Amino acid sequence: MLTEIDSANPEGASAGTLENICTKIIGIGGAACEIVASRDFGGLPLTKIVMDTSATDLGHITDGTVRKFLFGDAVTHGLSAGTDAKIGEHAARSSETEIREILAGTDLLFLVVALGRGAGSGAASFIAELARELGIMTVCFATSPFSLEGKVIVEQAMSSAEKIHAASNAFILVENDLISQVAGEVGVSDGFRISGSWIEKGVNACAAILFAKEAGARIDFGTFKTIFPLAGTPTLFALGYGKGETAVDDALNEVFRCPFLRTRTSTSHSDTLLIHIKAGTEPTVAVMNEISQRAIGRFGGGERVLTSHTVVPKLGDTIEISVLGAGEIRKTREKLGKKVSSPRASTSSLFSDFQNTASDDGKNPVTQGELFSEDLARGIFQGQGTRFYDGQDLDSPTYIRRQQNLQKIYEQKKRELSGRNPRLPA
Amino acid sequence: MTEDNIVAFIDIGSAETKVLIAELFPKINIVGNFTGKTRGMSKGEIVDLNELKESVHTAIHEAEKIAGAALRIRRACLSVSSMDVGGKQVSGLTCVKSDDSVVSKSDMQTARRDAYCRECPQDRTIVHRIKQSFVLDSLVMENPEGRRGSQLAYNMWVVDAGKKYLSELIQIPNNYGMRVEEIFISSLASAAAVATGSEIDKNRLVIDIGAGTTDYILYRGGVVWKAGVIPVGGAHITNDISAAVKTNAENAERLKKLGSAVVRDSDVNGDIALVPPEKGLEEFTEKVSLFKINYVTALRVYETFELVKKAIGGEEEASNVSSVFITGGTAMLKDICAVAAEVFRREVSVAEPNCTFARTFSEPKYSTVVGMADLLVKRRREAMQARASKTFMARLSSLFTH
Repeated sequence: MLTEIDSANPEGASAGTLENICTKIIGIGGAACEIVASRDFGGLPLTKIVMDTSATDLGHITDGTVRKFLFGDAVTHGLSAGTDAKIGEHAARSSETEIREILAGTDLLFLVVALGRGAGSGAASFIAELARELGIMTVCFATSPFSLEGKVIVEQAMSSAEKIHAASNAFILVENDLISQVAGEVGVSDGFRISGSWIEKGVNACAAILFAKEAGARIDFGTFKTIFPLAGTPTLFALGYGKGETAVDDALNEVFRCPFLRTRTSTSHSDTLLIHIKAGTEPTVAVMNEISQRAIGRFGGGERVLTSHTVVPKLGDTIEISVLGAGEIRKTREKLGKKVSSPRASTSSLFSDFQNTASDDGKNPVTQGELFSEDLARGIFQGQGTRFYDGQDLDSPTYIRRQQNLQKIYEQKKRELSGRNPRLPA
Repeated sequence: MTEDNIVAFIDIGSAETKVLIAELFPKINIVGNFTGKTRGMSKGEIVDLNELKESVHTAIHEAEKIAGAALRIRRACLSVSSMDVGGKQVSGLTCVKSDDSVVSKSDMQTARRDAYCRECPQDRTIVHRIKQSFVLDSLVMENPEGRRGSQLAYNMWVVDAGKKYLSELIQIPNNYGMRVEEIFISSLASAAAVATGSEIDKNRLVIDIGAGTTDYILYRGGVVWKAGVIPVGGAHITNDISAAVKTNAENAERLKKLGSAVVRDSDVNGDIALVPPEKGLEEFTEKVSLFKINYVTALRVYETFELVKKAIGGEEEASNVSSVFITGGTAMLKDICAVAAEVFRREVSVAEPNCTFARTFSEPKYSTVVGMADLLVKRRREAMQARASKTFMARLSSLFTH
């Protein structure tokens, strides 16, 4: 049974938004609840909801603006689901009616889940399924456990990720193993904090495209939905920041190296592309053009590229670039036997291949994305199922699984050697 | 030349398909060969059967052309290396039946029959049954006949594979008009090709590192003790380098060949050109850190050997190994032996096929395909000897009957 322990913001998020879109962000399970409750998501009009089987964990959340729900009380009696996803799923199923009520009326749902443990891994896939059934556009941000958390946790997380991915329009996996590559050597709690901040940035970037109140060229929710026409497609999602004279270059380089691109569920070959630019001053046509061309060159998308921008004067000479898209739409559609909504305003021949796939002869025309030999995500193993050996995904680079920050190790070694041998440069 | 005296040996690797066409008797004579790029396979798994068929058929066709158009090759031998291939020790048991507890031939046969009766799951097929030893009351021996004891076990190493995987694989030569005579696990074939014929072979560990998989086989007392496959190979090193220095797989493959599995202090100030520089433009070519390349390579190679060590039974089993041999395409990686020596704390060497009939195929990547030819000839000889011995016994018996 689902029990509402505390409730705030009962009017929901739909009121007052520019598009009258009802947007909710739901954190499922202990760590995800913590992320949702502790981040402010840039003041965006989101209804924050946290759901868990553990009354104790929910009790730790004291923010009055967050709605808290205890689910599966009949199954777990207010305790955690432990590390068993089956218990988490069973608990969620036992509260189906109440969860449906929570989801009802939602247009855009951000699901946040920390995979690996019972409540998140088990309940999230069920909730994503319900959302799909209700026709809600779902963008899921999930964190995967560190490899060091062991075989059972890692395998459970990946199995759950597959299910959630299949039910979500966009699925962005934040691999905790990548943290040390980006942030250097950090403590475990700092690691969780960092993955939380990545999710915050991701949700902010996504929501800012739709809800930014500042001047600029926004896109509407209907157009936004066409970027992710199908559930289960690999998601392209990358962010980058730059400042000063080289802001555009730096931001794009960050986009191309974004940790979101290097996960097993992401893609770097996109069929659809949305580029959002947030800057202190209105970007010139030349800048917009440069960013678009380089993003298309890297990610594909043909001429079906949507761009939007917002001007936030307090950003000064800082620029933020977000790139979103979905790949393998045709393949996913064939798998599901569904028809993709027709993309807008496309004239490119490469894109025509994609458009005409409903009547193609089964042979795969080369899409622009396939022309790239470089794969930013899983490298040469992209698109192949994850097969665990000894509890590890051996396709993922060893240095990433072992949290080795190459740049830091390199610099450390250089310093060490220069101290020993003054002839070597520092 | 009879049709069954000429066989195509096909080693379908994740990166390359090697085909040797050989006459077997009176001595092995390689008449055709071809090595081509494999498509449709990754980490030993079939990802696109049609592409795989096409690339293997091309390789067979090219090898046939070299062998001569007049030859009709109807028989093939295949190697298998995949996570779909598994292995386990199987024991057959019996009680010694005679009153004086002396083991008879009949007891040995009963124990062997019991081992052969052990079923494998419905979706799997047995590929090899390799005799290990008899165990008489926990005493390991090769021939227990005439010894006293109460319980006799017959141990063998059974290799099985998924039926679907095998049938798809066999389909490839079948569709080319070839019948598959034998299937060998890669590790067994490689070990046969690199055997030294010395005492050291008895307790050796042979590790065949290909592009997508690592096959290992451990011998104890001259018999196969354990064999298996780990889904990691040279392609993973390439992929790691590609991720580390942010370049494509083609460049990373080249960098791998220039790098090493050992990180040295001097690497810190070493750079490698990302792409081969044009003459006179060396200064302007983008360079990447040798330290980073070697560091990620070393980590991956170290991890691979650690996984092999764990798979064979950890420190305890590794301490019984007399020598470690590395073969397969990735054996050419610089300093790979140094890393293996650190993991196994044993002498490690790169092993090349040393069969006299394959002098021109002495690179480690040919171990499997050469080993298959060697094994098939041995098998046929054994079969011929068994037949000859049966015929002789039959004649002898008929002589007495008359």
